[in-house]
Amino acid sequence: MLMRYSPFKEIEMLEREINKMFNDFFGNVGVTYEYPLIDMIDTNDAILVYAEIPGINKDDIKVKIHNDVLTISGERKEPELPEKANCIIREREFSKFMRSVRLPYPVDVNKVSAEYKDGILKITLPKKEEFKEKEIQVSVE
Amino acid sequence: MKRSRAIIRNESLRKYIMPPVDMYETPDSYILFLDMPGVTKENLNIKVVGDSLVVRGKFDLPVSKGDEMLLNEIAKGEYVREFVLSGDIDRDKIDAKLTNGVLVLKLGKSEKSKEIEIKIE
Repeated sequence: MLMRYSPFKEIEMLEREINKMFNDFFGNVGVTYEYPLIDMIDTNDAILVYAEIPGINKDDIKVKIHNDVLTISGERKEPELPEKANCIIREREFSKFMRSVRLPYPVDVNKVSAEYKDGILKITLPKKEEFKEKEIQVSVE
Repeated sequence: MKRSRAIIRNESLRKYIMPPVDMYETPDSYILFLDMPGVTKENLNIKVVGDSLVVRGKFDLPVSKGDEMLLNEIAKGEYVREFVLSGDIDRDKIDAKLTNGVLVLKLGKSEKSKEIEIKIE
């Protein structure tokens, strides 16, 4: 195949090759996890979902339910810093995030409530009446 | 039948959670940001012991009997992080503020170690 010689193309190809090697080698080392981390608790009449999202504005969190899938999304923004601040340690992460979890039971979407306190988002999802555990008294004679 | 997940509830095996930290230096102070989700002001403890600054905070989620944990990813327990204070920090000028699970510590530098710009004549 004939191709016009382009030095930039060569560099681009080399760069792609190096990136691929780098990813193959280090790709499995980094621990990846989904963000935010979630606890889901099944109580008798509701499903409680706790998500760990410290340092975010309440208005920057979005909670959606569609087809029994709960989606939490938002953006964690960097704090405002005074001028001339030099970073010495950086371990916290800032980015947009989105996570979806399938709910084990259909929930009453109109009664779902959420509150954000101390960096933890708590979502209360009441179960639909027919999925609640009921105790039935059986009288034995 | 419900199959419950096994959670190790052995006190001696409990580990501390190390909160991630960001640290910035400005001409007159150091600013620290610590992610400690779930910690309230009452459960937070900040101490200066000798040369080090120790931050501790407790956190747990309420689970009543009969509840089933379907997902258990959030680390619960005690947050601990220790910092060594360098000589240029004024111990009387340490401010702490906790908002939305993020602790912001401001460590003021002592007067004599502040950055001074020298004018060239």
